[in-house]
Amino acid sequence: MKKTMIEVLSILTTAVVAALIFNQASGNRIHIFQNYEKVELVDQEYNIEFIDIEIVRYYLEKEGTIVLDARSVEEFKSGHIPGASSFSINEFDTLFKERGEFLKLGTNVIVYCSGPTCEDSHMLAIKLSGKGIKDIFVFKGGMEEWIGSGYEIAGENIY
Amino acid sequence: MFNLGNLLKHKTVILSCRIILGSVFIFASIDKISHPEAFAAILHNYKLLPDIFIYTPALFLPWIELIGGSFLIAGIFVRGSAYILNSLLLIFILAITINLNRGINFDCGCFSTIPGENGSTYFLLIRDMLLLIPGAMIYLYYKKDRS
Repeated sequence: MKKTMIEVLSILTTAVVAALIFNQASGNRIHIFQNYEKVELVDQEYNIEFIDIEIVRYYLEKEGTIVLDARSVEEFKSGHIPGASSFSINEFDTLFKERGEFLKLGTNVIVYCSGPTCEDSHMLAIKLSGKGIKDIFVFKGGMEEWIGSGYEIAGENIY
Repeated sequence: MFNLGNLLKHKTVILSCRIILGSVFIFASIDKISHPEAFAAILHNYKLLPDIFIYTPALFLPWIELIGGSFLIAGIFVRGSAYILNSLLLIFILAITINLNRGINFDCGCFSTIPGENGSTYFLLIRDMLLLIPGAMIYLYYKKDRS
């Protein structure tokens, strides 16, 4: 048992040292002694969360994630996040009839609109939640932050 | 004559178990190491740790998985690696079980997949339990000072 414990301590020490070195060198550095910053909730009742651009990119790589663009179809056509589907808040009832069942299959639904000050994504999130869609996230920065960060933009590709 | 006990202790079987379990943990660690903030958010969603203790496991846990998994495959500190990985599996099983009982909908984050439904969470629970089998086989094999 003593030998096992020595091995365990050696592995843990190696892991801790590697993690600290990587964390120092990484662009995604986290501060381990800091309180976790809770995500801001749009509405506790609906359990809708704001997420930042890095979390959006993380979720985009995952199977089952659905990204919805709450802006108008014209705005969507002019440029949107790759993989996103147009889901204009103005046509919510029609679109939900068409795609409601599909949305229920998603493990995470991310919604966004023009930028940090637009409210269409919040409204869409609340409406979807009201229809029974779970795990909805609002990408607060929207297209403004996406374009500003220099990430790839898709166009003329309506779902 | 076929003997299951001998088969389970066969060198090739144990080596296969080491490769499978090690690969699973290495694979599970990569995304978490690349996205510590996202993993912190997942840990927070478990609602098991106070906010001050979210970032510490978010940083160290994936590295423990990576080093443990790599050592297990490479044959370095195999007994210690198996001990750590089995302990992690037990912690994951406990965390998932607690949240299933509390009825909390949470993202597992185990393999950087995003399960949000109870059905898939039950699957994760069973998968973690199954992974304990090769983990236990490796630990017991190397317990007799073979490492």
